Amino acid sequence: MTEIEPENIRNFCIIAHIDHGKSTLADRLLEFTGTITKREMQDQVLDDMELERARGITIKARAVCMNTTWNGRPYEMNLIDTPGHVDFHYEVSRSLACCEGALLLVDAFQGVEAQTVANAYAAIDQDLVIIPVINKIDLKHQRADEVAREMEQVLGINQDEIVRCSAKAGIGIKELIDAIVDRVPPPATNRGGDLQAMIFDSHYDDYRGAVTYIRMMNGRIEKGQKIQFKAKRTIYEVQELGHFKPKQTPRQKLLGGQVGYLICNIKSLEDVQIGDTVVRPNSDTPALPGYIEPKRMVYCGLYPSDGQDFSELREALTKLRLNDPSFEFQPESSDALGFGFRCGFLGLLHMEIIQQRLEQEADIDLVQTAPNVTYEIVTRSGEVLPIHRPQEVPNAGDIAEFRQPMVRVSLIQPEEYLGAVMKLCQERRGIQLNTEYLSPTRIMLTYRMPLAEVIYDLHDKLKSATRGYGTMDYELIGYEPADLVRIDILVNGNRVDALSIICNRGDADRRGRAVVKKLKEEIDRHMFDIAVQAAIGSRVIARETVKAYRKNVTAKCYGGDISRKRKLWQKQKEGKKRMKSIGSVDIPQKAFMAVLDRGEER
Amino acid sequence: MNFSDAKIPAPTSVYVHVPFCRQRCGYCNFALVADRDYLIKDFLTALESEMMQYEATGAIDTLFLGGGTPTLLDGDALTQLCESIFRRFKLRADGEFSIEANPNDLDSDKIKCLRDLGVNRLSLGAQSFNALKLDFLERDHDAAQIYQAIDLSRAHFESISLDLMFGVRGETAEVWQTDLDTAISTQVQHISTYELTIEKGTQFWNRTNRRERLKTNENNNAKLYLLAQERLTRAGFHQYEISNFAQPQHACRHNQAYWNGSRYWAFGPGAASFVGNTRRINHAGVIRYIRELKQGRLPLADQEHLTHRQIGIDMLVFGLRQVSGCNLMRWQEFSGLNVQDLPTTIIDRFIDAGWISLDSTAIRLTQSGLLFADAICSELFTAMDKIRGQVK
Ligand SMILES: Nc1nc2c(ncn2[C@@H]2O[C@H](COP(=O)(O)OP(=O)(O)OP(=O)(O)O)[C@@H](O)[C@H]2O)c(=O)[nH]1
Ligand code: SF4
Ligand SMILES: [Mg+2]
Repeated sequence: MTEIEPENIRNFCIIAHIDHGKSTLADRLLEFTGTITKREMQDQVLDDMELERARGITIKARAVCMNTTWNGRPYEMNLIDTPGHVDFHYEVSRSLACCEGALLLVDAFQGVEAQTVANAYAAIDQDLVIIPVINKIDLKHQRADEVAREMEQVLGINQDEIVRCSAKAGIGIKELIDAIVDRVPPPATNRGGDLQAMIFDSHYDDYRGAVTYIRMMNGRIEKGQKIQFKAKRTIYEVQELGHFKPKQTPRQKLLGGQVGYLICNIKSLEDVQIGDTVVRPNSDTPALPGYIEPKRMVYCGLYPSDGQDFSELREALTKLRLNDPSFEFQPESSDALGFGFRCGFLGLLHMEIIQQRLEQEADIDLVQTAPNVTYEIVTRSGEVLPIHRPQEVPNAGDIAEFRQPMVRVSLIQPEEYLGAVMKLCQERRGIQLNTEYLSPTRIMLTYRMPLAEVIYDLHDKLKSATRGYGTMDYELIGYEPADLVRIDILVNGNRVDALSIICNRGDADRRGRAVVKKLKEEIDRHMFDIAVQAAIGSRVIARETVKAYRKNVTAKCYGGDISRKRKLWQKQKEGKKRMKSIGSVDIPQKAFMAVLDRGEER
Repeated sequence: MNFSDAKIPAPTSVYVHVPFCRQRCGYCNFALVADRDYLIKDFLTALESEMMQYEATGAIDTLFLGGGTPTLLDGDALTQLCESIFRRFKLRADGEFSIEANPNDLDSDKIKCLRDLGVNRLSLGAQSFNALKLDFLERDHDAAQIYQAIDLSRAHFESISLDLMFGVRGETAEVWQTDLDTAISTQVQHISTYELTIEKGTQFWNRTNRRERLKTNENNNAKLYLLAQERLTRAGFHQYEISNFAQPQHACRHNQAYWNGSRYWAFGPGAASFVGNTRRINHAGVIRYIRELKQGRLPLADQEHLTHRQIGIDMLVFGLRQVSGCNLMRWQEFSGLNVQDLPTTIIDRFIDAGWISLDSTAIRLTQSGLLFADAICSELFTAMDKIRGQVK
């Protein structure tokens, strides 16, 4: 096969707000370029993880290589489809570093939304050529002209450059490919030079070990050759290399400017550092800039339910981490829950996904503690302690400063919901930074807010305050001192460490009341009354009682009642599977989530 | 002993559900249609074909026609119903044949008809003698009709039973005691007392959701319950189950079969049977029931094949509802389980609390345990099921 020249290569990614049609557009491009036949095609063909298909969203970025002839010339186009959800934003940043161009997709009805802005800025920061695209122009209520003006207004995009298409109906795809060929610059590469390639992703194959995704910067790699991972300093022999089409398709070599994969008999994904540079063994080729490690935004404890095995859980977590290094875990123990793991996630969706996979793939009943963010404490002795869980907060007397992570939140919504959204942000201790009109009717608000106020439910609250029209994005901006306290929860006088929470002193009474009320609902009646209290230090701020068993004397019980009762009890038994006995009180899984209750309107 | 030794008894009871009422009372969620008597003909045909679909034959000890209101059927329909039952099953000479009746359905013709069909036990849905209470419960009869029904029936049946309900909003001990004493004075042989429960799918449920209070509180209910025990026992009734009191020799054998782990057939909408190792329950919708059978299908909503262990658990937790408790000899014989299979920690906890007593012959609820029967049984059920792993 003749070598493809760099000027015939186009590397680009598709970025957009969630659900604006990235994966569907990728389908059309794969089809138009003949990479996938109509027969093999299915909707969002790149979303091939079971969870992606079940949820209808992209979780992991996917690279595909498309070879096609356009206007009489052969082209190789490397496309990366990225996820739109905030939790997976780091996947977008990685993908950008491998590309010269980005298709910035905007839904012709929804218009510019929060992740549109975030992703567009990320692409601009990396000096990528942006091809603005308005998708879904087939929609009956499309408002492409207005959306074009929004894009101009917010993102400084020249309206004449916008390509209009419908990924679903296949309209405008040819024009889009023209634009990619004309506008995305070919990679600048020196193929005669020393090998230099960027590791931008990896996945784990049960039979072949780690599959390393690379973007070739300079030089070339051939099968059988020895290579080195610069930062890790490890040397491997390349057993197989090739392109994703979208299946792994082996080749003899990869050349400067191309995107592909390496298989080198690597046993663990831990050995592949995303952002590392691939070079010839012991060469002095400099490392590429690399990536910043994705930040874990939330932590929670995962414990085996009563009667389940700790080591089984460890095995399952180890296996999961092989496939998803963005989640981390460490053994921990809790007085109340025994031995388990503290796990860090990119966000709540990520947490939910990991938990779901654990339960599906490993068949383990879990008890999960409520998620929390990482705080920092400066002690009287000047030490800075990261606080991954509330029970680690030292006594008030030892704390010189209590700091919490802050984020910048951008919220975009139609003007009529402005009041509701501002109220929501104020309640969450937001400080308004900016207001910007995207169009005469749509406004972007920017707030500075504690991460803890954002991460659990601000998105849901925003959706309900704006009838689904509001969207938000956030990024971490650092730690700030705040007036924070730890609230402890006592069950029958015993502090249950796994139920402690950290909150603002001003909210403590309300939160404490809400939490004990919720706990009262979640804890079943026992043979005795159970006192549930919230306390700051030794001061009790709220109290509820779970009454002892109800005297339930004469529910009649004949033939049909027996069958129904059995069913009911069997169901209750299922619920009791995820449960921890603390002292003589059985606390069900749901109770551990009760501490998220904020005591707002209900 | 192991499971292969466990005995599976043959079914000795038959329940038939007759799903018709004049109107639906506010608290009632039974499988029934109100004021749609034109369906009776189709129902009888469906019932016949349901019985034909099982290889259900043989001699039985008890037959129970429940509802709904079986006595809403006229003489011909009742005769047709019983004929189709007796084509399949033969009631033993000393068998018990019960029917549920509404006080205002009974005239001397209906009573004669029932007696001729072989009914020997009448269960009257009286609920109360208090006009306000009857009105609150949306019953369509008054106290006079109850007296009349009892007087007309007395000579014709071996046992008459009254259902009484307590715990209605505002009900005081005096109101309840008057009901109890009035019931005693009618000299019936059997009395069942039920606390008003608010079931899903009833008017009362909806009203409760709208924050209307329909019941008296927990403690008051317990007081009323204890009052029933006291008054009825003093009048010579003995309590044989949580809600059932009988003069000597007048306990309802049909219902005892449910609690003893005996096997029973059941036909009609919503009816639940236990035959062999299988529990089945029919669709509760009357139209659906008729349609399925018309199309030659069994009207099953659910069926579950139980392991011997599960059967043993059921025998235990439902047996506990009886004042005599669960007989351990019989339990071992029919379930293949033995005393070591009981969840010791929980049982000990209940024994310490004085709620359960355990000796070599039986495990039973104590007087104070009876008040928490539901919680105790549900805990035992869950705990026994959990340690399933121990026995292969
Ligand atoms: N009408 C119409 N619907 C479209 C079009 N493109 C995509 N969709 C629909 O929009 C929904 C989301 O499409 P995806 O392709 O999964 O969106 P995405 O941007 O990849 O979503 P994430 O990966 O989760 O961020 C699907 O229901 C698509 O069928 C289009 O051009 N017209
Ligand atoms: S008469 Fe009995 S079965 Fe009929 S609706 Fe009333 S309570 Fe229910
Ligand atoms: Mg997608």
